Amino acid sequence: MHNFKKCMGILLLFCIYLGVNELLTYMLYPYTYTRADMHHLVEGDYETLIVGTSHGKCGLDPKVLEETTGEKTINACQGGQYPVDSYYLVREAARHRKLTRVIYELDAGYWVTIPSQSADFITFYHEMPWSYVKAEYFLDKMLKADFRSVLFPWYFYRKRVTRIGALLEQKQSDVYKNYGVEPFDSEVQTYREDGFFARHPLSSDRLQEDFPSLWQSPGAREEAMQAFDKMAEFCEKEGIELTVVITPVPWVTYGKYQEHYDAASGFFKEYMKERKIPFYNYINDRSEGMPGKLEEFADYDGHMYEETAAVFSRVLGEDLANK
Amino acid sequence: MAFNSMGFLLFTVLAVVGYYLIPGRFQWMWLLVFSYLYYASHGAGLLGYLLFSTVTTYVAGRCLERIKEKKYQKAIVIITLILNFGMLGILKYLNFIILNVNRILRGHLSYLELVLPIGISFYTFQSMGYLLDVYWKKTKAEKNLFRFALFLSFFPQILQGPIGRHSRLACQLYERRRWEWKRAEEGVQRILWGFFKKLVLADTAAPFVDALFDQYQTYSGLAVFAVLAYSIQLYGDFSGGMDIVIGVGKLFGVTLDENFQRPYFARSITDFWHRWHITLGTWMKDYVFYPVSLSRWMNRFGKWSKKIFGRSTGRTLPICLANLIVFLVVGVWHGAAWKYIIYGMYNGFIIAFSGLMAPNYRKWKKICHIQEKSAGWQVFQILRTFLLVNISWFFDRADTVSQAFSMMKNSVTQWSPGKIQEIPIGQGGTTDYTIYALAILALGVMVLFIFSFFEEKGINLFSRLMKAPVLLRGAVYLGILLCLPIFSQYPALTGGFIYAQF
Repeated sequence: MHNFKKCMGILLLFCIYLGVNELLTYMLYPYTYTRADMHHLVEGDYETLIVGTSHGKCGLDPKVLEETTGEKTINACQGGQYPVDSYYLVREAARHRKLTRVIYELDAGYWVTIPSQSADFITFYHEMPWSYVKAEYFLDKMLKADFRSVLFPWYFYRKRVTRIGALLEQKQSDVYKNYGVEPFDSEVQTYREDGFFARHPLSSDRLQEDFPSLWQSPGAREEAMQAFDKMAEFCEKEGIELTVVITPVPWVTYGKYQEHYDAASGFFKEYMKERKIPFYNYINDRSEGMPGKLEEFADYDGHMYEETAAVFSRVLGEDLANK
Repeated sequence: MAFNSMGFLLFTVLAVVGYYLIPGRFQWMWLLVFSYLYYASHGAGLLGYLLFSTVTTYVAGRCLERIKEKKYQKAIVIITLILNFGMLGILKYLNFIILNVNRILRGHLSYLELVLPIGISFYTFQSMGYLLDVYWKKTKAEKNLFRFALFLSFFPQILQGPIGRHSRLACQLYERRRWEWKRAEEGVQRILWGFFKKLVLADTAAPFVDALFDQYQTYSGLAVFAVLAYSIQLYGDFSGGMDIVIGVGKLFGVTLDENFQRPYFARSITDFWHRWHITLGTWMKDYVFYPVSLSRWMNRFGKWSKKIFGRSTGRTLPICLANLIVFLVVGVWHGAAWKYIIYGMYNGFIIAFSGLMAPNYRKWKKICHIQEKSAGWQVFQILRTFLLVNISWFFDRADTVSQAFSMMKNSVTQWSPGKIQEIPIGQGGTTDYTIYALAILALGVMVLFIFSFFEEKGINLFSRLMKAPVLLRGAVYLGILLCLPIFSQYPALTGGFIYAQF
């Protein structure tokens, strides 16, 4: 009887913790476009999935790709998406749709750095619906993470305490309930349901030179390679064509960091060749029509404007269709 | 698998649940399997070093009991000490030696790519302590290799101590146990308190410390704040880690040795070392200080010094010399760098000097009518010791000896506290969070001070809490749990446990 009471006490405490935690998550965790992306990943109609980083998010336009390849495409790229995240997004997508192609937008910087445990770190895991894929994702990534990142997802947003009212209002709105994309539109960008970020030119663009995340010695981290290899293996097993793409950066940026870009290009060329994976590297492609002028990008790092992305996506689409 | 990782929490839960579900006679085996799994999670290749230490020490212990001749016993001890400390020495200090040889002889010896297995300093000291205890017949040699393996590898303590003694720890590990609510609650309390110290205190101080030490020339007027922040970080980090270790130990019914007893309340440097990293201090006392003090050559030195300096000083000098040797070893233990050696010797000199001056101090106190037990004198002693300890922290944290001296100089010649707001603490190098972080730090220190003050008076607030109604206790624990994400820094901005690198 004594033990039963104790067990009940602990259970009650645990329930209170869960309740408080859920309440705080509801009050503080914002509506992110990962949530919208994840919804479209589960519910959308597509055959080609694009995964990768922010360069892919605003550089690979699914609509243009669809026009050239004829395949319905969705973009699930996001800043902070490491190879391990991309792998589980592909797995999750494959659970819901019959994929024919996965385009992996490769940013070499993500292969050499340890994922920083910030809000981006948990976002894919947090928004992913419960399934065995999520359980594997947990074991693969979240087990190594700080327990606060896993148990208290709201804590990355704790400073937004003053904006709780607005957030609650948003969460009760139809836009939130229907995974609307309007909240992500701004002067800088228009967000589309296919996951593409259309970047608009601003007068403040490129005022400051930013530093791209570069390929560094000692090279690719074991975890990144393992995750990519798992993705390649999975795609092969499922009959999905995996294509790897490196998007262009402004020529001026390439010129400044040529050594890093060339080292990365050399490594990945060899790496993909060994695995027989189609690899398209446009980092310093100066062929006609290929973006490269600084004015075609929103920053020195190589995030494309909507028009630039359309041009580039057409080139990529044609390359994919003609291969 | 760091203590603050999700993996460690789940691993511990799994280990505890299984431990109490399986029959008692298998419990120690369960612990052994989990301990090796835990160590292997840091790199399976590291197991080789642990196994080497385990097997050599076990075999030596068994031989010591079987072989009765003193000279052979001595040979076994010496060989095992050389093998184990030799391995530690090569892995930890060889590149430091090469660096200094190259500097002195202007040579070009190349460095070796050596991986320092985590926790090696701790388990080597623990195993060698056991060996010497068996040799001196303070404990019996363990007959079962696997049981001995558990003694060296018990997973909560293998990375950062406390350095356990066979006579106190081993029997606890092999005992059959049943679940006890009270003990489990005590364990959870310690774990929560440990996380509070690490995540709220140490990790909030960490970005300040990193900025102020790494850019000490930019922030030259904040050297005092730098070292104070480091004193908070180091204490919160190490003692917080110890609380977690001891708490997890309690979940298995194992009472590990305490490693901290409110060190910043110490009234002298000697007292400080009785309160800070206690198990290292007692290890040094038992296995370095006493053997050195009681050695034949020290005896000869004592007789010689009595002749030269008189009875009183002559008797103190050998103790001073033994202390200097102990703290030289303490310095070397902390790392392969001159700054650590100076750090150790600084402590050794103060203790030796205090020992020599003790008769004079007594006279001066009498002349000045100082009451030993007066509150004012005690506060003065605490502040004086805190100041001396903080000077030593400059050596501990600075990258080089010259940086330490430069910062010490800055701390008395330059003062610009306003610059503290310019330290970027927020993500992306912003100062938005700086004032908030300072407020958290101040609040955290206050909470720690209140708890420590009561403990110093013999009142343990957590023990008192145990007598409170269950609802209140639950609310307090939940409150502490929620404090962790609310008041702590993001993991991206902080590092792991400092002493887990030893």
